[in-house]
Amino acid sequence: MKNFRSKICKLMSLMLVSLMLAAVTVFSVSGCGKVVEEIDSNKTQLYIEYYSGGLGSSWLDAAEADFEAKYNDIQVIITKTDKATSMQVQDLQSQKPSAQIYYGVDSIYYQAINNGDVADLTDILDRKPDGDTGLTVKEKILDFDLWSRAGSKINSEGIYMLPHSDSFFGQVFDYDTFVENGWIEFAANTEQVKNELTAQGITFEVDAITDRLIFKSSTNVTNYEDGDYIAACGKDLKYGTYDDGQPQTWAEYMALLETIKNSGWKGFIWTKKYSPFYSQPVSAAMLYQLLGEDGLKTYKKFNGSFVDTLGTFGEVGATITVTPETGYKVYQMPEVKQTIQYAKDTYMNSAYYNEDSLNTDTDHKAAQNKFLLSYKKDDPEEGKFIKPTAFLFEGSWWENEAKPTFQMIAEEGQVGRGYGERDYRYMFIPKMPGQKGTQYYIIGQGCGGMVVSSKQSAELLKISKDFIVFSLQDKYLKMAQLDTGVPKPYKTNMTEEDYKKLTPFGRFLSEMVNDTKNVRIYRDSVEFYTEPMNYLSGKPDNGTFVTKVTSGANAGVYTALDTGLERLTVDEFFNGIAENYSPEAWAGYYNLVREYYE
Amino acid sequence: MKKVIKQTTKKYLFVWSVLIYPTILFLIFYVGVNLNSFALAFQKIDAVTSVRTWIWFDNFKLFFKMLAEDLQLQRSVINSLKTYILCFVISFPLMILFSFYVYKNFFLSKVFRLVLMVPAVVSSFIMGLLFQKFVQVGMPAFFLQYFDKEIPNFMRDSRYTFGTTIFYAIWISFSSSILLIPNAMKEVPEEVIESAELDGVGFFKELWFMTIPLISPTLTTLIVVGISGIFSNVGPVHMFYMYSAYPEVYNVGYYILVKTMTESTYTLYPQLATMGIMFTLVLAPVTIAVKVILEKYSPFEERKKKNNSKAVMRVRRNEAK
Amino acid sequence: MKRNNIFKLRFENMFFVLIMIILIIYSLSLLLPIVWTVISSFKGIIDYEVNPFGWPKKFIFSNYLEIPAMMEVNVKATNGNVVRYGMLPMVLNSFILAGLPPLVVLFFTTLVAYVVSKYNFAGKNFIFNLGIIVMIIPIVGNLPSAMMVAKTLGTYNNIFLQIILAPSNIFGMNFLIMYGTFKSIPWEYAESAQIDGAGDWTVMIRIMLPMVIPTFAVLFTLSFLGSWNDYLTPMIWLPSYPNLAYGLYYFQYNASQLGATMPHILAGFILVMIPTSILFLLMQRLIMSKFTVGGLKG
Repeated sequence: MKNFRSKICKLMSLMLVSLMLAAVTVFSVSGCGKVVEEIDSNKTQLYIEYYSGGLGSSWLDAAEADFEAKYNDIQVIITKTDKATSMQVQDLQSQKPSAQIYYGVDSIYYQAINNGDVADLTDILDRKPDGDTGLTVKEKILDFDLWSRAGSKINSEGIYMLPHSDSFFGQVFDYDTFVENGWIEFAANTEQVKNELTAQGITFEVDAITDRLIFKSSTNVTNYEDGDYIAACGKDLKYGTYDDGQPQTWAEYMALLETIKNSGWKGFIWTKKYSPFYSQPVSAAMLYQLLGEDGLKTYKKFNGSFVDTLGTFGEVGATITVTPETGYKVYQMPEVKQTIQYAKDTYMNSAYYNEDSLNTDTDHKAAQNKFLLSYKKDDPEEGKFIKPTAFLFEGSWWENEAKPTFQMIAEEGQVGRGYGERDYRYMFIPKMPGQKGTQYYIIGQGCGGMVVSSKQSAELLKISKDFIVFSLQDKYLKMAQLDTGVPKPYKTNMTEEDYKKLTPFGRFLSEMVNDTKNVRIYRDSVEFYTEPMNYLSGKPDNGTFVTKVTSGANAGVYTALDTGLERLTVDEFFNGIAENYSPEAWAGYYNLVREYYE
Repeated sequence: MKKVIKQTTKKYLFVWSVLIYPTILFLIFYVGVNLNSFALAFQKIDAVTSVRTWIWFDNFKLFFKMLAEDLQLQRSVINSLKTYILCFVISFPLMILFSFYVYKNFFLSKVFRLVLMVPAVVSSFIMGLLFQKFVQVGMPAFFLQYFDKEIPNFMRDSRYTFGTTIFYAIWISFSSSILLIPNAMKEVPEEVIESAELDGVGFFKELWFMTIPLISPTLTTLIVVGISGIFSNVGPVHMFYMYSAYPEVYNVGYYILVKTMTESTYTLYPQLATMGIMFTLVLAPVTIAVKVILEKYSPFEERKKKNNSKAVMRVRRNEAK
Repeated sequence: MKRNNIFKLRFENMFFVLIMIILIIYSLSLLLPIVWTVISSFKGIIDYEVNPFGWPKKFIFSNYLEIPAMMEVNVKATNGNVVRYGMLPMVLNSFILAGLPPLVVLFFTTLVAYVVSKYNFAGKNFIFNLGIIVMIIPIVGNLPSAMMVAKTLGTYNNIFLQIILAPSNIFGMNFLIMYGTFKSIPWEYAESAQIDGAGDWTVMIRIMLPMVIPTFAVLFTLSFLGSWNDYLTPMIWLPSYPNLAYGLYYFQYNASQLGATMPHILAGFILVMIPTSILFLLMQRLIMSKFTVGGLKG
């Protein structure tokens, strides 16, 4: 017993001593890491905290180097982090924040903005990053109206946040695969089409076998190469652009899904694991497109009117007025039910979805991989766990994220399937019956903001603002886009040479964002935080369809549309939304935000 | 009398010199930090300015209203209780049997001792990932290939989802007990065991009359710890379903988590704080009562008092000889 | 009578054979995740997707070789320098963060459990019941307060202070187990020492504490294993001292940027598991060694 006890004591002491020795090493200021950037005591330090998950940082690193070269008494130190915005806000609220400039994964800085923890950036809006001939910061910002509302205090005072990153969401499809399988709308071999092509400067020939038009050359920039089939033009009425070949009506879209199904393919894959973030933006786009701008204002601001075609509030066809106090009525707008129906008819239809989407082990990367590996469908061995799928619900970051898979595919010897070699695009929601929107709606999700801490000296505040203006030069904005393929929420002067460096998906995104006439980018995640009823009332709607079913075998709360539609009928889901946002519950929510509306 | 006072003073000096440091830290870093959170239950917080207003018991009235009207909350409470009872009924006896097996050094016990610790050593990410893959991909493929039979998806079919979460919770539950309980079982004096064996006392009797009574303080602790976690345990629900679980798998811990992460948090903090206090007010007396009852009727205490274990009596008789 | 006994013995044997079979099946089910993770960590991403349960078509050892470079993390040191942490420094941090704070906490937990279980004093029941309440009550939204206190008192990002001040909450399962362990140790040991002139401190340090060393070792091992996989503490409270778990978490998050795939991530998990597995195997002897609580006689 004594021997044993002494052995134990010796072992424990040994452990304790080694831990203490290790602790002594670590107690030194830099721990035991390798110093990669040392503080220069002769310079003023500017600290930047940059959320770096998947957004790329080469543009910021280049801006840092150039800024230090220009101002050699300033040292810029960038910490790349994966901290959520809420943690950055905690830091900003402390007496001594750890950085001067913060770039976030989203734009949820409203607490810091309203508490005076971040500086007013109004004075930099009129500055010109590219020199006297260039645009001002304000002119560069895409959708300035939105960002100015999101960046100001709740009383609309000042602008305390600027946009940092953009991201979009949609139904990714492989245009090349669709062409190979004959799934796109080809340009008709008619005189009218031929005249339109000629007027656009496109030369072509007719394929005698398929009766399709084959591209030869063009005097303008197009997406075609010599030998490509010409697709029907989209809403923009131009050939060789981002929206060619897509179904234009809901009937055409449903027919396409049937064709895909009959070819032995599945229609849709996404990750339900991270619901509602991966399928709900598609439903949201449907809803907003149905509502149109006026309907959307009523829906989002809980203020306006709509025609009750379902008779939910009594008389069919009555005009229902909505105010913030009776805002629950917007969830019973007929377009909401129509959207739920369309979701049930398409991606939540077992005839069309890839069952793996609904498995909990399928995360977003697994969904990407299953989509990309669809070409293995005929392989007797490797095709066993692969169900070829036509559409992937993903954000604009997806191609960058899937780079390792693309590389592996290329290494396997699959010609033409490496990164940047396939023409991926988003399929827009076609025109639905009763649709009031005139544009394609695409949801902007996870758009990031940037803020400057107000708890610093006047000198550092000036340096912070100078750096922001410096980093908004065209060359850095372009660099960010070329790095990831995703444009930043600022106008850029991309040349033809620049476009050639982008992948086809990157070019698609650029064209889509620039066609403001036909495409409405609705930055939902930013809009959400401009309406107190949304983010201050505690109501259960973080941009989702939330339903509460109170009876029957499937009774319960479903916080995501796809989870609910696995079990519920459209009527059950729609009626359950009314249950969730009952007048009594709404009164409680409204009570908390009353002062902002009265 | 003077001696008694001196001894009492000495005792208190000793006790408080041990307690002073952790007490100060507890007051600053637990009570001080969390006082705000406790007070939240009686306040309303402005999510924009963070200004708090005292609304006293309004949040509690709201809680009772929620409990009466919110179907999902009611279901969550029932599920939390069901989870605890099912896990206890199944895993508690198994835990004792497995520990006894290991303690007795039966065949392969050293191997089992090591392997049963796997859930503590391996990340829960790995355990969860493979479990999900196996249940949703591996098993269906296996049954289809070898038995030409389609089996339900146990993590999506509403008949099985709740049971699957219980199964997983039990599957990973033995890792800490397999260290603690055999260790406690070693407290049984060897000579008593040997004497019992000589008398032909079988394993069951040894387990029931000797081992369990002697480890009952440890078992009491595990039961008390289990009860205290009924309403805070999220289980594997978040790992499997993130924030959109099916309604039938919700438990109270998960319900609070979903509310915190998917709704406007700052506004809801007071309600969540109230919920926390209410559940504590219910559970704390129950936990303390269970602890008191188990200690009062613990076979360990009883054995000490009554001293009627046959084997122990036999040893004493032998000693007397 | 004899027939009865033989029957009972056979039934008991059969019963424990059944337990053995259950344990074998259960053990195999627990080993499966490790085996599957190791096998999958040698696959390429395509092989992983199309062949999730099979043997790798081609063993890709570079998954492991590429991990150390991929798991590097840049952090801001306390003096403002930017410091790069590779795998080995993160391992060292892991040992410190998983070893020292739990050790300090457990030490004070043991002391408090001892006095509460063995001494009668005013407030003893209050302390014990407080321990239970603290275990139950969930804390909501305390991060801002905690951050404010940490920054005011200077414990934020201060590894030394965080170790010293770790015993701020000594309650929890460890407290109850230590309490139960001390309760089961007869006071007669202390009494015989007191007869020999030992004071309270001597009794505690030389008689009582050594008796709970195996329990202490068990609880320390469990705390160590739990803290080893904790990435939140370095992320929130010690951003200048990333541990291996944080490195792995950061690596997972940025996997695509780093050219990493799921097999890489699985390889990372295996590498992170190795130190804890070695420690656990080493601690096995200490934890499982048999000893008798003798000493009362003579």
